[in-house]
Amino acid sequence: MNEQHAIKKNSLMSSGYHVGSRNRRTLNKIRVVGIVVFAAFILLPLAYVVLVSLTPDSEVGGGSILPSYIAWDNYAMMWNTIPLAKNILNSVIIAGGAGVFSTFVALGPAYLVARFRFSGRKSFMLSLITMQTIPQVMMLLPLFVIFIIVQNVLHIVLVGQYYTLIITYMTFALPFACWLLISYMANIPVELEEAALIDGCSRWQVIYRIVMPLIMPGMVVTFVFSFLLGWSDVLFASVLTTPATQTVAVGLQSYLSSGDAGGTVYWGQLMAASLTSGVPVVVIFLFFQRYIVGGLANGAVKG
Amino acid sequence: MKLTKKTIASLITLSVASALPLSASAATSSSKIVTLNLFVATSSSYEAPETAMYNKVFIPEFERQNPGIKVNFSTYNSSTQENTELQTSAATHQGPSIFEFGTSMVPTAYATNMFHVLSSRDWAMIGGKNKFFAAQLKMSGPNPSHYIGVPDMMLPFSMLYNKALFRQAGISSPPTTWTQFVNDAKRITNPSKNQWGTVIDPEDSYDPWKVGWQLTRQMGGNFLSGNLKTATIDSKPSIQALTFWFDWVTKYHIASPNDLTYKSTDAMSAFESGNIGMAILQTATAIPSLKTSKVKNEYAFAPIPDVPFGMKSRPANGESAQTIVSGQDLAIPKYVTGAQYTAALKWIKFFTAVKQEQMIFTHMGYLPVNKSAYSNFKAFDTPMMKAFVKSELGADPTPFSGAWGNLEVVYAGVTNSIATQIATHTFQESNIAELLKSADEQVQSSLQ
Amino acid sequence: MAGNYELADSSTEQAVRPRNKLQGKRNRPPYWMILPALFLLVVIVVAPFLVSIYTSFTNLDQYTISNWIHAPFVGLKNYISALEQGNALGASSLQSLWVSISFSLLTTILITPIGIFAALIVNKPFQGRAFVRTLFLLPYVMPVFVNAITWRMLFMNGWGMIDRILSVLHLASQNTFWLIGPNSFWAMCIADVWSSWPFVYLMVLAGLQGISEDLYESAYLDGANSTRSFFSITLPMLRPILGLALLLSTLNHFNNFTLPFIMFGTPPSPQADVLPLNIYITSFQTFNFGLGAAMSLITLVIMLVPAFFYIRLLRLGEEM
Repeated sequence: MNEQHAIKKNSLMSSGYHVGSRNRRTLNKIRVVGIVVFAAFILLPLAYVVLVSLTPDSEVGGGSILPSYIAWDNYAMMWNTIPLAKNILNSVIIAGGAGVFSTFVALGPAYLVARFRFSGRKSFMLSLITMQTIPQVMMLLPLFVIFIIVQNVLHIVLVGQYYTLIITYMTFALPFACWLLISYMANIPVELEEAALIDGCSRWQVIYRIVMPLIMPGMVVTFVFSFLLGWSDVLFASVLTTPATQTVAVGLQSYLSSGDAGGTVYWGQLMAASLTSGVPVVVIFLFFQRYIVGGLANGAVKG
Repeated sequence: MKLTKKTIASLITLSVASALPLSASAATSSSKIVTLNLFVATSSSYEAPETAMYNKVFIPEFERQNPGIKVNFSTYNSSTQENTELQTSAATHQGPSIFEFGTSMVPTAYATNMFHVLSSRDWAMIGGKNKFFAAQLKMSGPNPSHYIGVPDMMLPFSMLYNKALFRQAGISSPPTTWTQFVNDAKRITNPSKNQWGTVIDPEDSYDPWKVGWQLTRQMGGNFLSGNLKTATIDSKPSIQALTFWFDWVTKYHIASPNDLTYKSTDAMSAFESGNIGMAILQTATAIPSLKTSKVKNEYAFAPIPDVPFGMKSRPANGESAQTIVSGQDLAIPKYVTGAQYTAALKWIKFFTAVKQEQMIFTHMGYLPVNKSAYSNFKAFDTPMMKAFVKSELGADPTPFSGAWGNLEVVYAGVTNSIATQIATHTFQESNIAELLKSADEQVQSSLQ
Repeated sequence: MAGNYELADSSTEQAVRPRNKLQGKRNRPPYWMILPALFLLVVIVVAPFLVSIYTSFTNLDQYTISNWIHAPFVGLKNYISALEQGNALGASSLQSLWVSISFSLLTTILITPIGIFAALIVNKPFQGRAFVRTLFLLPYVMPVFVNAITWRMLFMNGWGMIDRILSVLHLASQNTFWLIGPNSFWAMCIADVWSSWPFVYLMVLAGLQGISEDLYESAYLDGANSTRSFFSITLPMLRPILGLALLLSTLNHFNNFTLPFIMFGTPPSPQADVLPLNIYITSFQTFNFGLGAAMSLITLVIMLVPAFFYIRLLRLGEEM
């Protein structure tokens, strides 16, 4: 009960308005405790990953927690065991492409749905939800068949190309992206746009000059979620890539699947490579963080 | 606001730039040059050296010998990829020009009817059936006139044991019967030191059927009838086989209860940490990581016991089945025709020649299937290699059925259920027969 | 289905109309804006989906796959098999559907308060806030794949960290067997909650930025305490984005494949045999593509009903 109460109080403080100093101290305390609890919750499993990444491969799972020596060379060897650098680059291109394109392609329907009533509007929104309930697994084989048909008709190579995966991930991400942007768009007042239209701006100019800057935080969030959808996929990537375009998730999986052949798993290297592969994502988040949180708060929109 | 626009603009430019150059690369294939696309297996323990061998040795050498043929290759390292590549290529009649399959996949590949059955002329081009180990060819097709697969590597199973734990327990040589195996394992087991005679991995997707089938064969049973029309997974030998495996945990206490959640890699880790006396069904691919492990000076391979528990010798219809016919086969899909087909046969001939086979062993750890590769080759003059080759001579092929893949999955479902029951204390020995019966019904429905 | 929705919604339609200010004679809806998205969705979702519907009526397996267009037509056989009880392989499709629904609802319910609380405590500036905000995103940026391996190791029986810690604290035995049987469901939920709560956190944090300070100010002047302003200002203002977060999270979890696939391998215990995994095993490992497609379609139909009510309940898309 107490804690719940505290959470509520905290919200006021988060809003940044006057609070009594006694109150503020309590809230500070709650924040500190909250952060510590969260940090422990987040960091303990991560610490374990770091520990394993520094354990010699063959000692993992042996029963002792601490390694007999710190195996820094896991971090050196992982680059050669799998083509890690190339895999990470591929993932950045593919997931990044999927993120950027889904965000921009979704902008159109989102604007249309948020600003206009038209017949089929609700059906469109409902069908976006429906698409999300189709198990993606089921789409794998039919999608591949469709790609091959397109490939034969247009005489282009699809399998193993970056854009094939980008398009595939876009289809997971598009319904997501549309919904996200619709809800952000709905929060933006229409008055500015009206004014611009009256001033003689074209629809495109309105979107580019007025809507996009205002909806930037929403677009960044959409990009980030779409990016992560592509980043995490293993199944489609394992079918639609070649060694040249293999993503990092597939690369990491190859560490595990050596067990199929009766071999063992380089756990230490696997964990080291996993941590390393997280770095680009963290960097992308760091880069976009201020847009996510900044944007709307800057006073462009009030009420 | 300026910054946001800039960001948008640069993002668009970036992503367009990343996607554009790719569309150009598609349409460049000259008519004179024949291109082969290989789809080959790698295991991560060897992945880097394997791809290096293809890139730097095999392919340049082959292209030098055969001007006019260009070879590309892509790799897979999980049965998931192996399955989906087969399925997608079958559905679309497009894909690699040569598949490399694990032997247990060949019956499934045969069932899809999408691979060339090799004619005697084809075999002559490859160098004749006689250059291969006879046992390996048993997994090439349903009968000698319908072979689709050409063996290119083999991987016999052996038992891995820890010499230090054997010494401690005063055991002089590895067991040859399952009765000895259980007794030796009991002597090694010391739960307070977390030291166990052996290890099981019922959560693995593939090991369970291998163990179950091998033990069943030794007792004279099989999973499918001789004509491949009837499933016999619920036969008495099969029930006894699986019961015996779980007895290691429940009755003889020679394997840790923790093993109930193990996959093969977990079992291997446990062995490498020096806590396990014996691990069955291991192959030479484990060697690179064994060499860097705690047991690097203590591991050794021996043939898997082949006399059923409680017996002095195998029953009359029992097979030694010390190893399953195991390894890799090459197969050419039917959509590969004409000059490309000839080129594919040339590659297979090249790849199964003595020189290449020996290099495969040296750099990848797979044993040659070409019999001539064993003479005058020092690397095979070790007791360990002799153990592998000896196992291979007693190799037993799994029934050549297109439903074998289903059977593997269903069987893993059974061992998973049993492990769960043991873990939750709801296990009764009669459950094994029940579960195998429902597995039998399910496999029966997928037989053609 | 869609038609009904339209009808049922006519009341809100009216309520929304006044906000629809851009619509005038001069401003016909720019329909072209929807075309790229529509085109992509048709080619990559609708077309394969139609292929799946076709295969669900055929006996598509390893024997017929290389000529799948001519795979024998078997009518409703696959649908009947899909509804039958589980077999040796594990869960039936209805069991799996239940696992997937419980999993997606439970995890969504769990991550919502965690995410809101996290967003609230880092919303206001304090020293080191940027660092803490980054920290909070770490679980989310770990690829699901890595997350699954990590938790598999943590949950390993006997030597896994979780069993060790729990047994030291006398909370559970060292033989809890998290990775098989009934506990596997909980292991999967815990691993998922750890990695997915930042989704809600991120959405709420972005949503909080849209709440004007003036609102709090006037509430304060009206004498509202912090509890009241949380309920009267923060939550209502967050409702649209929170509703969306809940919907997306539920759907995303319903489609969760990688986590149990890596954490338990195939086949998993029936209690953790989520629908996508079950369909995967049926289609790709036992080569029963027809049955797999039938299973997907049945669940799609079953899911449409609650999805429809869920959308109504969250009142999504009404005031937009």
